[in-house]
Amino acid sequence: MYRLLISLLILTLTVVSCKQKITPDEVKHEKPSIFPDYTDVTVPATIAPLNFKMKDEFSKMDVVIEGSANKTIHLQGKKQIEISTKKWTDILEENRGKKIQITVSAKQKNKWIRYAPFSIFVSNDPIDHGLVYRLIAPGYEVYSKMGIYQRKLSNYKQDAIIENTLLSGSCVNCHSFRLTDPDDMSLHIRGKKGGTIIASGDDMKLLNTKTPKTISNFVYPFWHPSGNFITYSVNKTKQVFHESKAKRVEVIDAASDIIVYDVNNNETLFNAKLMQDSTFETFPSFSPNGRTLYFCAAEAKEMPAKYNEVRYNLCSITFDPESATFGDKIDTLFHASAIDKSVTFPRPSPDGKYIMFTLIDYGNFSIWHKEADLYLIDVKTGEVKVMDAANSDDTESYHSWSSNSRWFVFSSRRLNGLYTRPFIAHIDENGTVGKPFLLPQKNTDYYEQLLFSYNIPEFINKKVDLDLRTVEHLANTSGTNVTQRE
Amino acid sequence: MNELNYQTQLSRLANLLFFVVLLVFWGFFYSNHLVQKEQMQLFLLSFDYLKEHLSYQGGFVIYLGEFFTQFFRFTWAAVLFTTFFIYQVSYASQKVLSRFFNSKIYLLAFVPAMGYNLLLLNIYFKLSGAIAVALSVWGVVFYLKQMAPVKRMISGFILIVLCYWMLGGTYISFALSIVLIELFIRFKKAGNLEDLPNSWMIISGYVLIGIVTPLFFHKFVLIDTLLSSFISSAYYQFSPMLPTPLLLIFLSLPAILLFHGFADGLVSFNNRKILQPVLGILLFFGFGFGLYHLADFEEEIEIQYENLVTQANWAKIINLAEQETPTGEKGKLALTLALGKTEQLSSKLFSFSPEINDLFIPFNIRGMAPLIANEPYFYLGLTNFSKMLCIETLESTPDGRSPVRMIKRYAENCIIDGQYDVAAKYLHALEQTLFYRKWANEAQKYIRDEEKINDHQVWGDIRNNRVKDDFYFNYDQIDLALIALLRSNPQNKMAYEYIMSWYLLQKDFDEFLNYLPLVKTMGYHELPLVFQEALVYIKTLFNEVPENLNQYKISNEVRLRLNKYAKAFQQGGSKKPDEMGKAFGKTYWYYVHFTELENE
Repeated sequence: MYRLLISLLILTLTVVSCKQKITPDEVKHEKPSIFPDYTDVTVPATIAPLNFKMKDEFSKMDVVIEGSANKTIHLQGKKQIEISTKKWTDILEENRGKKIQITVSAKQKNKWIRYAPFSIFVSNDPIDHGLVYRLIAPGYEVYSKMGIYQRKLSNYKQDAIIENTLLSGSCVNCHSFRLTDPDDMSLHIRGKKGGTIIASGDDMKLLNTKTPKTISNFVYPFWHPSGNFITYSVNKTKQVFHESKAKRVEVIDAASDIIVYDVNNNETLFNAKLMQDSTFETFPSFSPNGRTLYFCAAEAKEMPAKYNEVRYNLCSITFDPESATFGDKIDTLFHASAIDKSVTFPRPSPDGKYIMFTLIDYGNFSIWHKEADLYLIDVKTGEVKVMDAANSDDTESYHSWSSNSRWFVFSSRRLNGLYTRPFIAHIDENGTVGKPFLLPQKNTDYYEQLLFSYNIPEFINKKVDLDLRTVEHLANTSGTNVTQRE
Repeated sequence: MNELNYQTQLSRLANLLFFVVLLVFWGFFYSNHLVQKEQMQLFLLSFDYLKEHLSYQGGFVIYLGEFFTQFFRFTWAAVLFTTFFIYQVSYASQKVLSRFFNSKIYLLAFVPAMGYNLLLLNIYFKLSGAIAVALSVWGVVFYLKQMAPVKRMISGFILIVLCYWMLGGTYISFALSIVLIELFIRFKKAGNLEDLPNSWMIISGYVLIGIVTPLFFHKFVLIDTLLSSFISSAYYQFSPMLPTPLLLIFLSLPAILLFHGFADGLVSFNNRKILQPVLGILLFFGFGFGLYHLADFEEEIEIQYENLVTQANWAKIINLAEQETPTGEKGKLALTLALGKTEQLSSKLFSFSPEINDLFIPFNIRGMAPLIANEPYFYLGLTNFSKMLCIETLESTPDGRSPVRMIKRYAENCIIDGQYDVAAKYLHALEQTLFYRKWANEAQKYIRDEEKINDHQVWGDIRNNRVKDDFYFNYDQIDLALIALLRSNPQNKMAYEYIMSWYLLQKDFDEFLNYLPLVKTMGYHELPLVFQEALVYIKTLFNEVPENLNQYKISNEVRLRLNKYAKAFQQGGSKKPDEMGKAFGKTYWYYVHFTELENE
């Protein structure tokens, strides 16, 4: 009896594990049209399995994944191809710096069709631990449920860092880390119990960031590499809504300036050149050596009447972290207004070689500009190039570098024009960009079902461990007023 | 009649009466509130949706509540299910009391049910709460059925945790009830159950687990406020708040147990025979008083208008308004939309005592954007503004659920605008519902089929009417959007009536006269009544009437009525708005003289 059971078990396992080999009725020379489109993408060896399915109707899929060591994974699926994490990790590790080949056959209209194989390039460059992003419905002025979440890149696990249900009626936004290190984090909470949370090491504080000299609370953040400063923009914003079906929302700055916050002394540092009435200054960021402050600047116009005439240039000013002082002059690194364009979100690569930015036709709210594309400027030569491999016909906007400068994540509306989704792309030391891939999910219908947009995707080099009870406690206090350095 | 018979008869009478009152109230007086609950959720028949609901406290009963609420699109189902679950609360409460105290009739057992029924009058309280309360009381019945002390003890511990996770805050009621039951057994006050071994320890254990369970989940699992971790979002849409009446309902069953535990032995059969009918009458009238005073019948009418707009039942809206003019912003908006859709704004607008903001609801960042707010923009052809308000409504729901009505409307807007990928996404969600699947499947056939969309009776018209220019939304200058509509399609009669109505409501005579010549291109057989009344009045303001205004024919009836109005006005009518209203309230002249604009 015992033997019989064992034999039956072995037989069952054999039947289950041996996929029936497919004899195609038709062989096509084109690559399969799959969702997500993982054909010829470049991935890190530690990425979660790239499950996918045929875009067109099918009743069954058969997939063979082959590495250079002649190891293969043979999979079949009726709804999607779901790859085991263990087998996937093994094949990627064995093929670092090489490519794996994937052959897809699909049973369509009762015929097995084999498509031309496609490749996935497995980069030698490591990627960070995970991503942090906000999930928010693509609303206009109001918001209901939202949260900031973290996702490990080697699997599909997503955890909430904070949700606005913790603080009734609040909005959580603009999470920012120092060079992907979550030990230093800045986060805004807007609403009745609002303020800016600064978590630095074990210390956490809630700041009231409006000062007599600034026009608003702190808005767009960027950490100084030393962790001693954070630069923020301060913006007097207003939303307007388009009627044209091709456009949607603009968040207009009626005025904006840039300040630097001294974390250790709880002081705001000002510089007259970054607070000019005749100029809108916004989207600040520090260079990796901490000695240059990049930002966008545009000639101030009457708002909202002349909003579509506003063009931001990419500028910089020197910063001395030792004395916490600024240089005397502003340099224009990319004169976008000269070509009738506008720059947003300048983000320097951690190796200091490049600045990635978004280029749009006008204004500063690139996330709702269909024409928004990613560009790269070589810091040394000043050469600007469009990142064609990463861009699409739809919006590409917010972007963030991995800690080793070899990967970047960006939000794009390319899937349906409304919801932003995170794409990751490889970039080599020469600035050559690989084909980006959509952040993989276990269920390929995940993005179709999700009614939230991914907002501000940022790499993190380890898990974020925000003590929610401290946040809740701080939010119920009056917070600490930021002082200003005279 | 012996006591048993008497109790049985009284119990049947009370139950029948309560059931009938519930049925009549929800069926005849408050059904629109229930019907709208269905529009406020997107219930997906998918395993993932269930899984997601099982992952947080109270999620299971929210799932159940949404499951039954999806049938509320049928008024009869809404009324029957609501009545059934409220009745279940009272029925299960009676079971608890009769099982524990061995009597047939406990009128106080109706109190928790009556209480939750009164809460449901408020649109922000959920059906899932009624189901949760009913299930928790049935949980007490189950507990009482466990005759063996050890089984009872095990089920007590399990049910406290299970009630907490599945039903949310009503676990408090369950835990307190079984603690009281055990105390009564311990002191031989009531019940024929055997005392638990080490009863003090177990009772303390019940209390401890009741307190520790939510704290544990708050600390290690949930991202929620402490209060929400105890109560969950199964009851009230603003989950971070705990309305006191809800807390009282949680405490009501334990309080009734406590009352009967002490009072039952003190009252004889004869006294009970007198007291019970008195108590019954008090409860009956108290409940009736609560229904009358807590129900918002004006809001019920508002919601009725909103629901009729969903059905595009323009004739019924106008008919309803003719019986009683709507006074709320949603009813008025529905009425002007119905008049606009039936090309009657130009003839009937001022028959309904309009106010300046009746054509569109002014955008307000606070509170929830009404479901109806996007509708005039949709039918006019301002699809982006319709989308904007759909999303604002979606986003401003207190509990972050997605109102299916807005999902559907958004998908329609996207199909009209040719944004097919987004439309497909929303249709895909609707395909996972029970009642919108068929519609969504049909709508899928329109994706990327331009000809089919253009031929669609509603979508084709709207597509044809859309504006070609881009501009920013500005409520105060909505006339510019309406003019843009007319520029894009000069035959858009609805837009024309809206423009003229907007200027007349604003008392902007210059702009009214400016656009009056277009009346000839709109296919009217004669100058519409409202325009005649406006024109004949405006002419009186000129020293010398411009020649071009004489081309419009004013009927003798209108002239005569104006003369009568002028006479009455001059003879002291200007200081008697009520009298003038009775005689001339349906004229434009009355609006001009007796309705103040905000800036006047």
